[in-house]
Amino acid sequence: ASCVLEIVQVVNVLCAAMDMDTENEKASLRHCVCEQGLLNRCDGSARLQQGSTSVMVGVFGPAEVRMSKELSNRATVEVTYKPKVGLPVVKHRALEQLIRCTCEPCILTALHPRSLVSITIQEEHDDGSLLSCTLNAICLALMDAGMAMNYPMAAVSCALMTDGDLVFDPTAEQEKEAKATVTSIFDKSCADVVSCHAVGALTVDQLDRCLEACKPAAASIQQFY
Amino acid sequence: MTDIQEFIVNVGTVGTSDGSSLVRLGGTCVLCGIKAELASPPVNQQSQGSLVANVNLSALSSPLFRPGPPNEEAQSLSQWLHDVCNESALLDMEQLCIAPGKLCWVLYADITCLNYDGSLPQACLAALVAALKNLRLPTIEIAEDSQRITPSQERSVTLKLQCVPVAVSFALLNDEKVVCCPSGEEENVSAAVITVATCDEERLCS
Repeated sequence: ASCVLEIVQVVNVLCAAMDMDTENEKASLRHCVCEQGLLNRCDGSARLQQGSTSVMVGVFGPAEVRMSKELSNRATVEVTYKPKVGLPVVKHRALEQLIRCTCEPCILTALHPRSLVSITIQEEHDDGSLLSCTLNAICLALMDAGMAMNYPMAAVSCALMTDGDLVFDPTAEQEKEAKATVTSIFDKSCADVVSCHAVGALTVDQLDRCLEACKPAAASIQQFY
Repeated sequence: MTDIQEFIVNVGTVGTSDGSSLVRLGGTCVLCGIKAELASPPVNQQSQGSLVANVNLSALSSPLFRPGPPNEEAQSLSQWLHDVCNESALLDMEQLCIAPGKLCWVLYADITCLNYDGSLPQACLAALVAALKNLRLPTIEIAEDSQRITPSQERSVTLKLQCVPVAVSFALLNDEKVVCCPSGEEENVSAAVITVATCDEERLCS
């Protein structure tokens, strides 16, 4: 992977092109562009563009939390997802819960008891791999906010096509044609799977194969961080 | 690890609904009632009916839930059930079509949790499948000239399920012990909870 880093006074703009070919499958992730610190009212913010999929994330924390949601030994993590068009519906609530369950072990919540870490996600454009783009953007925003994290989480989407091929970072069209799409999230060592979300029908072997194949892709995302 | 809690399924519990079931899994108790209504099919799927599953985690089931609009967990479960039904192709929606482009059945499945003690996705999916198997619909006759719809007196139409998805929840305790069908307390102290839904032929659906 090749990295070009340009630091500008007010805004950090990181551009990296990630191309990786493994022996068996063509594992190439789309061109990634990231911008941090673009929102000046948030504690931390990031916009990540993976190909045409673009997501903006704002993080507030540690902040004051309502009595009803207060936890005495750790911080409460709250996730709000705003779709590009329309109001949030049931499937966005399910997505919020999934993101919250993935982010909670990643953030060192024990350092901030009785406070709130609020993550707000705005979908700008969905061209496939939305969940992995969102989770990577959240990681970048948390880093921008200076939140202590256990590990930087790397999320990779992989689509299993009808002919058995694996396509990494699928576009919206590829996702529609695929038999199943698996999004897996890895920790720093890229050996352990933190979380996994599968859409579509697939066998246990196919799921294992997807998880194994995603590891090198996750390593290149860690390098991008 | 393979010891599971007591699993009891009762069908036909709710007399006023078209199909119902009550599932007890350890302490968790879930009731599912299905009401069938007639509607015109959507424009893009002229010869298909639909199934709408909605999970309601009522305040009486646990002190964690407050009365009011469905909370995040209930909505998340509803979405998960919808995904499992679609991915596993549980029901061939064309069975629910009466007259293509004009009339179809819409099944509203209301799943209410009566007692919350862990393994909720497992119990909800079992309740939904059992209620669908218990469902009895009347045959519909449409008069040609007046377009009047008359349902028959007997309920003889049953639905054929193409597969029976089953969900199992596992909780990881202390990074070493894996417990099947965890109770509420076990879920609270566990490091991770994984729910896997499979169809008959070892295919994972969610």
